[in-house]
Amino acid sequence: MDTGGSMKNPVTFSQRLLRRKPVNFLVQETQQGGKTLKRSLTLFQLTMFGVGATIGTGIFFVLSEQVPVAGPAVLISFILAGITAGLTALCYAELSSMIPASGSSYSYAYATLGEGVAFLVAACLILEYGVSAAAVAIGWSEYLNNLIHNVFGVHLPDWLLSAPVVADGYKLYLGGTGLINLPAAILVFLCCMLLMRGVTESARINAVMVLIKLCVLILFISIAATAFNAEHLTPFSPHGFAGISAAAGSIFFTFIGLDAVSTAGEEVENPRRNLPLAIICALFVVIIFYILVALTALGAQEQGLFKGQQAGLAVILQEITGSTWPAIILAAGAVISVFSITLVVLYGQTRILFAMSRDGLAPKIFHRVSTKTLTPNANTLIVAVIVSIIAGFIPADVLWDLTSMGTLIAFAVVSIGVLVLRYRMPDAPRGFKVPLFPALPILSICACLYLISSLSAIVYVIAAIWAAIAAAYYFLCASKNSVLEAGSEAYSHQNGDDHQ
Amino acid sequence: MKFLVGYSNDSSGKDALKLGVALTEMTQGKLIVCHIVAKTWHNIALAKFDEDYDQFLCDEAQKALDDAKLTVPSHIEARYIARTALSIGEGLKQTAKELSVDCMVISGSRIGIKGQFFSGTVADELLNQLSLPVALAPKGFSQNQGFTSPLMRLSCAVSGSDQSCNLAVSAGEWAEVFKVPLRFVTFAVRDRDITPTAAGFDAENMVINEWREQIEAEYAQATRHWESDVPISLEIGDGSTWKESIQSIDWHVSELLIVGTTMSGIFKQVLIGKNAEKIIRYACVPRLVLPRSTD
Repeated sequence: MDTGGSMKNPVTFSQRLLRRKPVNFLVQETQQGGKTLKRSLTLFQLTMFGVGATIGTGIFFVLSEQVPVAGPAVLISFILAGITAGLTALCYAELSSMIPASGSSYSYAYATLGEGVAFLVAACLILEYGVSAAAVAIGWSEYLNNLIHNVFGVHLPDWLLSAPVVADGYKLYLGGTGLINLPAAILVFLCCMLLMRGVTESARINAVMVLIKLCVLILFISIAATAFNAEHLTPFSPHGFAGISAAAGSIFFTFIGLDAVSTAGEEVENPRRNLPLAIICALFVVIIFYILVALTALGAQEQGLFKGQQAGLAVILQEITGSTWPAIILAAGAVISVFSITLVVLYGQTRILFAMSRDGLAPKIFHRVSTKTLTPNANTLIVAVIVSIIAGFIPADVLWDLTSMGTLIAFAVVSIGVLVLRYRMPDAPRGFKVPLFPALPILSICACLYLISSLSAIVYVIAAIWAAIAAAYYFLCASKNSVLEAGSEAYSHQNGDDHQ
Repeated sequence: MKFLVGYSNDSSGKDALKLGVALTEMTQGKLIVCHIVAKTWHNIALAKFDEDYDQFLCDEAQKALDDAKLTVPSHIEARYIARTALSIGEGLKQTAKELSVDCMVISGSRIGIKGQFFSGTVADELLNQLSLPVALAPKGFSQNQGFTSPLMRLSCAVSGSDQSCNLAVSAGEWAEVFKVPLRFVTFAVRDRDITPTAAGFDAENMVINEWREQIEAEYAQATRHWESDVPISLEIGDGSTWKESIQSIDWHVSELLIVGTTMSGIFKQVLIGKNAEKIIRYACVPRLVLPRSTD
């Protein structure tokens, strides 16, 4: 079917879906003034990047949501989710190593699998990043409230702290106790302002915040371990494997960031060895941290108390010590470090939209750069408005599951892409190849699908609506505005039969 | 044109004088060399105990101006004046107003690296409160950094914002005065990525490359409306720091860089922004800071 295009060079529907972005365009986009900047990251540096980018996303809030689902067996859920994240990160690493430039999974998919798949991956990434920024901001508001209570002795009013919307089965409806989660919305705007000032400042602040995040978690583990009671771990798995897998699906979002390590193909020394090792080492460190936090929390508090607990880690410390100061330190650390997580996630979101906009697959305003700060201010502001609305009005549990859904679909698509490309382009140079092919990518796909199957019903509804909106936008707008459409002759010439 | 040099009998004063002389020669203008002396208390103190000190300062000012005379070529029409004021900046502002000068020439702090401009108290005060163009002599200009030939080119630092249009027009007028081509320069400073995300390790390069394209497109559009006969060009500096970015483009030994102001106001004052401050500090040639013209 011919869906349009110029009279001179009609582009068919399938050509649009399968056309690929020339690699030299991707290289040019990310070069510094015509020269490639080599970072030469070592194994240690890359591992630390991975740990810094991954750890903390959700560990401050996830236990109160998932311990009631899986019981102490949530420890196994962490391992399951971690292994799935590791498998997909390895697949992602192979895809990224095929392109001699740094980019997002969207841009790698565009250069290797075609525009249709790239747009699907981008839609998933937007869902993943946009929604997780909102979810993290909601968790932040819990710790802020805890901190204010412990320091000043007052609670913020409930109507300012929770969403008016609640989820039940397949439906979202008004009926929550709150009017708006105002601190969460404010946090998103604070991050937006920081990002609009310029990224150098943000990068410096972020490095400090990662350190604070690690110190706070170590503090929690050290104190909570002193009150460890093994009896709290029984029954270990009250809801059986169904509970474990359901929790693993929701917990998966806590491993967002690990995929970032995979984009370092061009930046790392000896990528064939260091890339998989860094992914595995970072994953190992993160899982150990998560398990230690979860284990000490479970040992310190009866599992029945987790349900609905706000600012859970701070409350546990307060219960153990009978004093407010450890809780104040932890809540303050969480308030500061969760700020950094929101910042990073919002940053990722704006840059993915930026890349799409440059390719013509998102509105032009998303790649307009401010001449004053050299940052995409309009893009950042639009993202902040949408994310703050989500954070202010949608409950966190739905958002966590949506984040996992977006991430898992994107990862599954990347893993499928690795399989396809091994058969379609077997001789293409790869800096890194997934070991145990094809077992590992297949295992990765199965693990992603399994975790997706355990997510809540409302998430399927929202994801389906999102997919329908994205597909409509692609077919009606994006595919016709694509830069490959405008210069189709030039691109066809460069790509030759690669289009097919 | 009438240039007012804020002179002091030290290396930084000599830098300002050298630049003032060069600009006066190029424009065949007039030069005023002004030495500001601190105001003493003798007018209000009954015992007039400060009279001796006052006399000492006047003598020193005269000596300084005598020294300055030796530096200024005889063919330049110059005046040498000493004034008393509560602060040097205040004295220079008052003098500029009274004598209706067109441009003030000053130097920066004595501390600093040769070729760079570190703003001192006087420069800070003048740059943030003046409605006149201010030429800034870099450190060491009077020694081996001075102009070795007539001005070859005028550069104008623009950001690509709407305000840059007014600055470009003013820069064009200055280029006509000096009878030299005008080059627009702008600088990309590539930030470090905030942290690795799924957007990749080089997401900031993508943003800056887009900005470069934006600037080039805007320049191409602006050239279509350029009404002056002055030939123009565009060059974009690129680097990881301001210093690196500024030094990444070529600079003539005899070149002047025009820097605009960042904020407009009913008092059309010079207000230096963060980026302009960096450009002023690291530029490789003398700078000319222009106040925003009233529209």
